[in-house]
Amino acid sequence: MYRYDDFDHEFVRSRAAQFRDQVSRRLSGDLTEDQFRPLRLQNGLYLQLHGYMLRVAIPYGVVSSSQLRALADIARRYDRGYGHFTTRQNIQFNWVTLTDTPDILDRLAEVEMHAVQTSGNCIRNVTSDPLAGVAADEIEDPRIWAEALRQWSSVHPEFLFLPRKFKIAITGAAEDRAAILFHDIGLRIVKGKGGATGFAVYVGGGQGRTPYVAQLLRGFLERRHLLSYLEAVMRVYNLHGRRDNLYKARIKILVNALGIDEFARQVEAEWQSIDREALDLPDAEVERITPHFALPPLLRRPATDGAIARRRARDADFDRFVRNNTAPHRIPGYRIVTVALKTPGQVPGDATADQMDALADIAERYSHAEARVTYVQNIVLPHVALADLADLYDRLVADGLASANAGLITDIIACPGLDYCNLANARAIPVAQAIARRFDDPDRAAEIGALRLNISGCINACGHHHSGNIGILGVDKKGTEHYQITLGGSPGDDAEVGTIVGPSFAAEDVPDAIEAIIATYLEQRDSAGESFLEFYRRVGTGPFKARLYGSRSDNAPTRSRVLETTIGG
Amino acid sequence: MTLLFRTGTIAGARPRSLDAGSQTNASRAVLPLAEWLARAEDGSGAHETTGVVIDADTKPADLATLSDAPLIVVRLAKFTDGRAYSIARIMRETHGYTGELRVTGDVLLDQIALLQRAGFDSFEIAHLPTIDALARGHLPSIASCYQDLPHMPPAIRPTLRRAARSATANHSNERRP
Amino acid sequence: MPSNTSSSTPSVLTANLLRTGEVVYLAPGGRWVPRLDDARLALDEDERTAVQETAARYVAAGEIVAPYLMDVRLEGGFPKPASMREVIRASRRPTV
Repeated sequence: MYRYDDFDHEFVRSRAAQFRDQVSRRLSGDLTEDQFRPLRLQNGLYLQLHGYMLRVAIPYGVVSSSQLRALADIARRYDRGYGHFTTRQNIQFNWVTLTDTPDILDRLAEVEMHAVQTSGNCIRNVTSDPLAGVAADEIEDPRIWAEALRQWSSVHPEFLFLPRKFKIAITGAAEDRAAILFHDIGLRIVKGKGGATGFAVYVGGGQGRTPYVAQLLRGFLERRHLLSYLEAVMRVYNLHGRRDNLYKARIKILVNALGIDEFARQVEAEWQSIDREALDLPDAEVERITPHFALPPLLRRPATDGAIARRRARDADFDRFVRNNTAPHRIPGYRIVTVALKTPGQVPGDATADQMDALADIAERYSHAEARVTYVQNIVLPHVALADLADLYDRLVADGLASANAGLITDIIACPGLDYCNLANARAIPVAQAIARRFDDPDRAAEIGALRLNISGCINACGHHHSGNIGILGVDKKGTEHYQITLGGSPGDDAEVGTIVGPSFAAEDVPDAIEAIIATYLEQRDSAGESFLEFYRRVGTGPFKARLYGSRSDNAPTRSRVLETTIGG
Repeated sequence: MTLLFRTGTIAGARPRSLDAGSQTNASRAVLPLAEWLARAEDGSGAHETTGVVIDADTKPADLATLSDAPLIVVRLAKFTDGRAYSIARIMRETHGYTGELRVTGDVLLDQIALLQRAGFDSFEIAHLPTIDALARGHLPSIASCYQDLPHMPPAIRPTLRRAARSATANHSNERRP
Repeated sequence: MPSNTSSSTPSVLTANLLRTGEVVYLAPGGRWVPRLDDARLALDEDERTAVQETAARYVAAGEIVAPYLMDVRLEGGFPKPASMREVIRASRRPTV
């Protein structure tokens, strides 16, 4: 993974010192809250429902054992002993104080971490494929460019006061595991004519109030021009994005107002006028960054392992874990392991300080001291020897981290919702917990198969409800929490925004409504091989509506049946 | 009370002087864009001795006509209006503007170093705590920078430096004047 | 100052302490207290204006941030939060 040199160290220390000075001027009264707010947001510090929340970047999701231990230390010393892994490869601490925050930033700087631009109307933490560098389907490692973008965007003077926040995601694999089409800019490494790699550039994706799938801005951009081209995109947005209306200020609104062709024309004109030579990343810098992302020295290990096979044959739980939570590594004899922070009943994405320490130890012992965080709020151990899987699994069981449901209905994305968030209209976590408990039976979850269920507590959509195969949106209906269900969203290469299925449900009715949706799918799918998303795409909302709202169809349950159980039941 | 804070020439890496308006440009006549453009067209050459004041929403096509002005003043209605930064870079880098580029309005201490890196070299400041801080010599900034912008060479990693770039470049410089 | 109130219901002025972020309520005597039970009630427009003016002074003094008026119900003379948001906020912890 990337290691800081003296220059990077100096940068994060300097940034932390700058924030310490800003805090002291806020406390002395030199800065009003209106003047201070953008400064603290650019350092990831929010004022939330209960108090200050600090969002720490885990750039492109890569985190080391020593960094995990520092996060655990921060959780214990400055928070209530836990943190929350977010949907953008960040971790949030919910109970920090303003006066402690400079010390926390210093502590982060010691382990090559920061909270730079994890909020604010600027370029946010660049996200990427959590399997970067190890996935079997990778064209080229995106982390080299993600790191280059991290540096380029950090305190870039022109782009700290954009019309609105700006999110970039990058993938280098055949399968999009970073939801790049739901980002302001999505970058995909592709092979061009002659075999050289470059970027397909997508623009204007996003969730929130007005969800859009990103559109193709440029089919092939030479690698070396990435920074100058992005400067041109950013400048067109900075100058022409709307600043009169918060809800229409994202680049997706500009792109759709101009049309992709006109937007592309303006970007091209700007790109022609700027000094590419000066702005593109020098080859020497690419060469400096690249070796940081070489594979660790992985000893040759057997590609098959009899003991593991025998354990799978006699231990159904272990077998399920291997099937759901591990994936092929580039190197035979190794597996990529997902630690799902999704034990039914837990808060999705939360980890206690003890669990962070345990993950640090486990990563050190089994995965070259490296872990990844994913936007679906799980942890990935990228380099686990096949022969170590049983030992690793037993250790995860002991630490309460062996939830074998990655990619299944109980692997739910949920934002913090009204339990923590100032913007939320409704709670998301208890709904996620109730659904996870309802579908707790692992055989049933397996029968349902691959399914992305996402919950947001408000229309800002941090819980990615628009891109869930099943999406749940919390709304405030005359002072009570209600939940609107969408179907058919997809975050991947076939990205799509879900369709609202009908009127919203009271909180206590949501698990039954999900039950009804799943029953519809299981009863009517053409085979066990037809996924929920494929089924939805074949039949649309009709059969689900009939079942949920008890229309004219005789076998549909009525609303009253849907009201029987309560949340947490 | 307002303070005119100047950072010297556009190549100056650090602020050099603090004055209350004794420089030539401090008292120079400044006209709104439309009037300045009218002078530019009347053939008198008067626009070359007269400054121009513009807002952050000035059209890029109009920016292209301002290079003859000895002083361009950009009005910042709110410190969060980031368009001023793009205007500065367009003037310096795209149009090769070498005159004084001043920002006025909601100019606060924490943005000065950023505005400077974008290309501004003078700052008209009304915010009292900012004036006090500058008087104490306190100008917050980041010691090291990842962007090698042309008009203010900061501390930059050797492999990021434009000097290193032009030394290795083997094709013609596409840079505009 | 934002106000989440309607004119016919009693209200309380709430904010966060600047230094710690802690949720607080304005109490009689211009104190800021952590318990909603101890908060000063504003029962009419004049009282609402008065507590907002008090809050504005503490904002200017750098003691609190983000003050606003919230609706409450009265139970045995004590203010109780009228919305789920304020129930959670007053409890100083998530519901989960």
